[in-house]
Amino acid sequence: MLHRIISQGMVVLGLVSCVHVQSVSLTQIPEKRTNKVTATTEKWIFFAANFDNDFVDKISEDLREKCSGGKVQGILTKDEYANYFIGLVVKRRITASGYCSKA
Amino acid sequence: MNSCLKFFNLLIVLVAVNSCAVLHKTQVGDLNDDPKFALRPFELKVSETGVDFEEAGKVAKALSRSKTAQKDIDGVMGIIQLFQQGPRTGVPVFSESYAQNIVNDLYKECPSGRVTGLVSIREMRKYPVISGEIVKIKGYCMLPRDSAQKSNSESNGSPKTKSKSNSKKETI
Repeated sequence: MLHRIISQGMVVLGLVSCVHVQSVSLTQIPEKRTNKVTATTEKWIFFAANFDNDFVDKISEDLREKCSGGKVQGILTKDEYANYFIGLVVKRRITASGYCSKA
Repeated sequence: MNSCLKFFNLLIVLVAVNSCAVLHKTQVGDLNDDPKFALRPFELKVSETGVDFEEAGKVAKALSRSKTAQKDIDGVMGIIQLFQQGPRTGVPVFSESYAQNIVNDLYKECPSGRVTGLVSIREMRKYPVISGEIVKIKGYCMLPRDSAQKSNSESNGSPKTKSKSNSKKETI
């Protein structure tokens, strides 16, 4: 019984993630703040084996697609990571959200 | 048994040679997708070699057999750690101004100075003891529609990448 509780507790602890913010940045906020657009990119890293950071590249392209022909201002970039299984598995996530304005 | 040992040696060499990419910071700048302009993507990269003295000390300590030498290494490591305090990204480099000229490179890449959608990336390529400390800027150069057509026919629409390491410049 005790073994089962301990093993279940370990599984729960393993699945629960700790989230850390690596960096945050904000650009000039526009006057008109009606149309909010968000782009997110993420990558799972297993056993700290990460050989490139190319997942970041598509964030700017995503924002551009979501506000085609307009301006995205007041961009809040949040770079965070979540640890699972005592840090053996890491989820890296970058979120950029801003306000789209079209002339 | 011998082949197993060889396999493990090869595995260790492969792991040591392979670099791990560490992302320190990402920042996305304002984006202007004005229909009057065509956006030409570009990428700039500067890098400098970093040395992880803590790791070097650990390796030296593991390799030395004499206890006096190990104690001396500990002393040296203590002194180095005293001089390398405070917040930082990556490991120390010998030239702290390696990323200073990236703005000039940006103007060379986009002479009009009309750039948008800048993504600044600070990352590191980690090898045993040494590392490549990288600053990368990606973005779009805004070109008036007519000149963009000329530029596109020259470059075939592929993003221009310029990388600079230890003040040597090359075009990929």
